Amino acid sequence: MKRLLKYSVYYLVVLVFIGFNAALLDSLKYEKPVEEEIKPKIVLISHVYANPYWKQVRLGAEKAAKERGVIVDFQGPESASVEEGIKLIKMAYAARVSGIIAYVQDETRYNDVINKVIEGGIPLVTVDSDAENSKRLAYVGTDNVEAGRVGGREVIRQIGTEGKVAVIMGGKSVKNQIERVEGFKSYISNNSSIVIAAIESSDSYLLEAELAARKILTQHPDVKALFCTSALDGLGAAKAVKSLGLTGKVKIICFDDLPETLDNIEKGIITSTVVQQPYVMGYKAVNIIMDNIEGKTTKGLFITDVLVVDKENLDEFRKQQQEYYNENQ
Amino acid sequence: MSSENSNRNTITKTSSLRNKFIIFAVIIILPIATSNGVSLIMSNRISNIYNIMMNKMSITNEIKNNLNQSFFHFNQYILTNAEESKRLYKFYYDKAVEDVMALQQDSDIRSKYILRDLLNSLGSFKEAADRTIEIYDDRSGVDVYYDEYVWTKEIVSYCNTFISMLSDSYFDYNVNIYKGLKQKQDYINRVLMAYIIVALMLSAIYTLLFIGDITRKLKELVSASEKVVKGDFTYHEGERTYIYELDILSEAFRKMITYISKYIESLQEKAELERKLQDEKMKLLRYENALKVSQLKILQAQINPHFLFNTLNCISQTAVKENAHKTESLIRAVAGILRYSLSMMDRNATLEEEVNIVKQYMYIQKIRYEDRFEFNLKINVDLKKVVVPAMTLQPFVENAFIHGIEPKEEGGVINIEITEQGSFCTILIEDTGCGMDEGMLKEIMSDSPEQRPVGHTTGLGIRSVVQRLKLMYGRDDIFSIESKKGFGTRVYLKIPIKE
Repeated sequence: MKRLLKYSVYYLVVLVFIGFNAALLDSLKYEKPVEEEIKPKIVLISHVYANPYWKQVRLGAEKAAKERGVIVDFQGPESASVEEGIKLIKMAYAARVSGIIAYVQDETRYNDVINKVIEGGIPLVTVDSDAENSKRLAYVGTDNVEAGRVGGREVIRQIGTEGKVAVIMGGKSVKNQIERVEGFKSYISNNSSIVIAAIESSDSYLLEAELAARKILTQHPDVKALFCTSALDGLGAAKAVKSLGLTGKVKIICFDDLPETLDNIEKGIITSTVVQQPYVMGYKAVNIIMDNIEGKTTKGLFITDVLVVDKENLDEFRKQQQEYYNENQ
Repeated sequence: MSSENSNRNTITKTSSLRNKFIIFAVIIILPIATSNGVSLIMSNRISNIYNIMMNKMSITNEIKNNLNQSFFHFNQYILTNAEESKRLYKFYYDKAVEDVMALQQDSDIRSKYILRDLLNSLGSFKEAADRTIEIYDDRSGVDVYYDEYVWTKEIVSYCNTFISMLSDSYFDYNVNIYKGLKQKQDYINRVLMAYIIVALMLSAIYTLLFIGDITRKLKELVSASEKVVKGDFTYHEGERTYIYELDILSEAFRKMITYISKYIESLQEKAELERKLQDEKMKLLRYENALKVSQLKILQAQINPHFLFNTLNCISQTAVKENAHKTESLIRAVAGILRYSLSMMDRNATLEEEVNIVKQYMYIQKIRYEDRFEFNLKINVDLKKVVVPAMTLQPFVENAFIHGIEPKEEGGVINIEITEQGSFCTILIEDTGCGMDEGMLKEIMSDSPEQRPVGHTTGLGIRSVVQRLKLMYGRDDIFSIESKKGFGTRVYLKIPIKE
């Protein structure tokens, strides 16, 4: 018995020593990083780098890039800046990347650089915002006039064909904002007798949007609905409506699907939102570039649909969004 | 490592002191060696990474300098139109490209992408710069090559952006690796610490057990030695240690003590034996001495035996001639006694022979004293079995006559009874004579050699007969006597029967 104990103690000691040595040797193992193959690169230049909307564009682009064997380099100015945007395109051009997907912040100022890139033999696709008069290969994005019309239809669906509405737009000189308002106006005037009481601009700032909404609601208490053409306008309007105790009385129809927007829909503060499909845009844009690189000339406009999300299809919509995220993990 | 069953004489050799020290050394040295080795490797790695990072950073910096030099000389050329500047612009450009290519060989994936961008940008720079120079060389005005010149300048700034991105990338990459290594090193340090602590504890326990083993055994040996010094040879070997050498020592000590005690025992036995031998010798000497004394006495008493026997023969024949048959048989009896006493003096005889002599003696006395006494002989034993020194019985009978019957006017009876009692033969010689008082008994039994027996045939006194018997049988209870004045005397002899 004693002998057995003695031997087991010996073996235990030996095991402990082996264990320690093994642990040390194991930790010395140097895992060599996997040699990744260097792939062609497509530069995706966003409106603003840290924007959730653009994050979805990026996810779609990356999905397509994975499928087509390229990588996407997602770039963008820290804050909206035409110079910065142009510089990024130029840089990508100087670095002779395989393709450029760019958001056009200012059509007139972008045309030259876009043409230069195309002349230099690098495929360029505009996304979300177009430069129609440039030589860009294609545009992928929402038809903002059409989106405005969808918004108009939703407003009529919510308040009927009579009454007053007000519009809050992101920027008075921003092309897509103008187009959306245009589309909205034309749909309303053609299909109803709704009067547009006011059009205010927030320049896409949350605080400005809230102030604009308050202004409208105090000046025009009989406004039945607020139509907001950019993402933050909707949130600002929601804040104002909530603080004025007009929840439910004043409908808010806005744009885009920020998480806060969806939360507000869930709470019933925002009635519904016109949602673009940034994921599809990114996905499509990369595919167009790749098609062109591979010799299949693809040009023109590629319009992505807009959806209207309200309380009823909110869950379904969220599920879809989640899937996009999961795909890229 | 000894087993309980192991033979006491064979100690398993597996656990010698040397092995113990080797194990101890291994316990101590192994962790220290391992930890040193591991630390060395880790610090090597860290310094390697640092070197690689510094190297890459310096090359990156070199690219930047070369690019700027190249651009500077390009500028110079545009300003001065000096061929040397053009050459230097190309030279520095080539150097920058070379450096980029060199870095491309061994970089992480992120840096590789940046390097590709950088290389392409450098290409664009060259392209744009060359075009600028081309236009410039055509002697065109500033307004013509201005756009290209600005573009070139822009590209240089992009290149610089890429270079700083590259630096960042390298830095991040190596910092990550360094962080990983640092983490790993922390982990390793913890493991090492645990390892060394465990090893130290183990060696401490091992040493304590080891020293305990040694001191216990040594104490045991010391106490055993102290006992031996006091003359106690009982050494109990205690528990076996796990140290071969100590076991051997204790085993040897145990054996030594055993041997010494055995030796001492045998010495004692020998001494005892020698003492006994000495005693035997003494006894023999005394016996011989007694024999010599009696022989001497016989010699003193004897006349020339031949003369005596011849004379007795002559008398016997004369008696036959004269028809004196009684005289003749009387003489023959006397001759028989004399012959027996002379020839058997230094030999043993059977009791039968003794009794015969007594009978002859009685015959003579019968004729001499006629009816003054009665003689009864009662034998209840096989006389041939009992051996006694010759002339043992006769002196007692004679004594009965001399001190019992002879002095008594009215005479008496002499009875001899020989009976067997177990392994002894008891001889009773009884007379109803005048008996003896205390003083006479003492006189008879006295050991003084001067005391000469009075009136005995052979000159042998009771005392010497008894002494002979005692010496022969080595017993003291052979003889006893009781006597009463006026009633008679009884002598008992207790002779062992020797089969």
